[in-house]
Amino acid sequence: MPPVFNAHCNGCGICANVCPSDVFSRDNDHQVPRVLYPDECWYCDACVLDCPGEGGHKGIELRIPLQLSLLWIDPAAERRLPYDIIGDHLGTDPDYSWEMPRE
Amino acid sequence: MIQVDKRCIECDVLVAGGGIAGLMAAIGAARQGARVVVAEKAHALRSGSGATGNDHFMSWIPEKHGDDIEPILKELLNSQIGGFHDVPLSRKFLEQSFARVRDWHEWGIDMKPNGDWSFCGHAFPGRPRIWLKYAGSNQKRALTRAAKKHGVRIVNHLPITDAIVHKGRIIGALGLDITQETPRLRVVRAHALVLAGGSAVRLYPSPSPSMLFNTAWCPACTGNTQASAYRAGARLVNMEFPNLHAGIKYMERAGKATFIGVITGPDGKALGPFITKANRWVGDITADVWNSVFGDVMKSGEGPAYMDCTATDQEDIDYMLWGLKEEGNTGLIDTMAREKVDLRRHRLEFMQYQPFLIGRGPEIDLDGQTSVRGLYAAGDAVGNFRADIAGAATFGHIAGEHAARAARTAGAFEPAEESELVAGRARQFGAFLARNEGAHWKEANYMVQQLMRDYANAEVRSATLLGAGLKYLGDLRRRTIETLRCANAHELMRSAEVMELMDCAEMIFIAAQARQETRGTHRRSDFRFTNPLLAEKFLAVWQEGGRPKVSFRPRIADMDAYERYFGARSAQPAPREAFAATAGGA
Repeated sequence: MPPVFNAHCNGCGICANVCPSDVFSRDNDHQVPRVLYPDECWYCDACVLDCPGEGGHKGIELRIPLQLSLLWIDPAAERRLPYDIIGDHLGTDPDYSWEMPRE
Repeated sequence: MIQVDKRCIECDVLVAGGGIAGLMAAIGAARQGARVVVAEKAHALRSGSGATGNDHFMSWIPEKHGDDIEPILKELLNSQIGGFHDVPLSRKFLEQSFARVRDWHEWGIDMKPNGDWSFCGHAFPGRPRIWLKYAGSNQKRALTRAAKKHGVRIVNHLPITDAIVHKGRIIGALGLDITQETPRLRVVRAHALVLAGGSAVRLYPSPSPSMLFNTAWCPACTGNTQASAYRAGARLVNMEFPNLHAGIKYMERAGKATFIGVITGPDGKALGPFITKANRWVGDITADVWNSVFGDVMKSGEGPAYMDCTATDQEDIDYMLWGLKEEGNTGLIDTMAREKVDLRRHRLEFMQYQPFLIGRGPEIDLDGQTSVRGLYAAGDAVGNFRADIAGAATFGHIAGEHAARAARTAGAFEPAEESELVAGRARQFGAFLARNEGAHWKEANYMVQQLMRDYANAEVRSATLLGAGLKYLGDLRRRTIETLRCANAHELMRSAEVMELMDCAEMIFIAAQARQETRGTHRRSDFRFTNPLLAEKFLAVWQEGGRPKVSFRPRIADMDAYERYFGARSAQPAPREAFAATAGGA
């Protein structure tokens, strides 16, 4: 669950201090903070924005959970039925149709 | 047991909340020479609904709009946030808004990102544009720095739970120190208190089950201002009207105003009459006007509805992405990039979210003062005026100035720590912490949401539904107090938030029962018509002697009406004299 630390975290604790939702441990022990309350994340990105990281890389990133995935459609999508129909739309099977007697 | 910190904080003006309104109130008070403390639940650098940015700052800039305020005032009152205004407040706000814009620009917030004051978004074609576009991504950092420069002391991780009132006037407040794993109570002695706790979210369910914190406004804003004001005896207005908001499907933390596109149905045709192609100056205002559009087309089966930017010029798309960053939506931008969403090709589904409280709450006068002497309120929680971030900044500053002036004439500090309220809270919170078994705060929060969704929603209300909901809310409150268990400071803070939400819910149930008509989003099945006799009437709710009271009063249109209503309010027996006579006797 969000947020997720990586190897570039320098243990400064800024993320834990500024988080509006107080989701991190705030021990100030120069360790990677623990994410104590992941389900209280607001996805505001403050932790990522304020992360100094190391070597130009952020030490933390936000993982957006599946429930919040973006829902989008492509207008150019084919207008084709999303299934193949066997028989017709009334369930009439041509093999047994009385109208079509067979030799 | 919970320890009460023996060291009281003392200040002239205490500001509860270090968001936009709180920091601006603190600066306004400090400019008057007051000793100011901001008590902030999280950290002022990133707290509140303006945490990572914002897009617009409503303002009247005479060099752009001309010297006549009237067309701008009219536009404000007709806008999506113009419904519940005592007009003298709106006028005062507009008059001072440009000064605050210049303050912000001077403090390093770019209020002219296009090189000049520019107004775009939320606009009707052919009408005055009043929403100043600005680059807000650094606003909290800049305002925190400005507050410190003005000598304001900011105490982070100290949420204020209660105002302390003695003989009808503020003598301090109670805070919850959550800096350590073990919480402590901390009393602040103050001559004036500015409540700046923001909106009340987490009151109705989020669009995704199980995600309490998936909210548009800051989920740590749980009606602290409304609840503290109510407990202190202040009057609150317009609590019965649900405020609805729309945006990206399921991901509630994403604004709508910055999108430069057209709201379309599945066939790609515009759902509103305003535009067929959007640009940075005029977007599609359909959802501002028809704010239930996204829900309506789902219910009718014509949906879903989409934010369609496929016709927008690339230059405006780039501008929009920049705007999303500046309003603090970097999480969304990163997600779009990761999922390879191309706004020139893909249409994003939008939805209407459940209600939350903004622009409903304590009624304030032109000084920002509530009906309780020394108690001020500013920002998203104010009930008789609303201009979102600009309102928070401008009326926050006004409230701070007046709180400081009032504090100047106050005498010695009262011993707020001796208040019965402090002892009562210590007993209650101590019991929560002492229990080994019991209910978790989330259980109570979910139950509040269930009750609000089913008994006080924006679709249908009635005396029977509201009556049942209020009864069940009372049961919930009793069970919560009897069984709640907290393991640490963080959980105790959340528990105090749920108690605030229950106060807000109570006020909503009561006000919604008392407004016996259908008006806007307040839909009564037992009073299906909009009653002309209740037009231009605000319903106030407050408590006196432990019993809720309600009363209609006219919406204030001009200064004569203002004097009649607010003049009478401030002419009540001056509590300050009573206070002086009994100083030390709390």
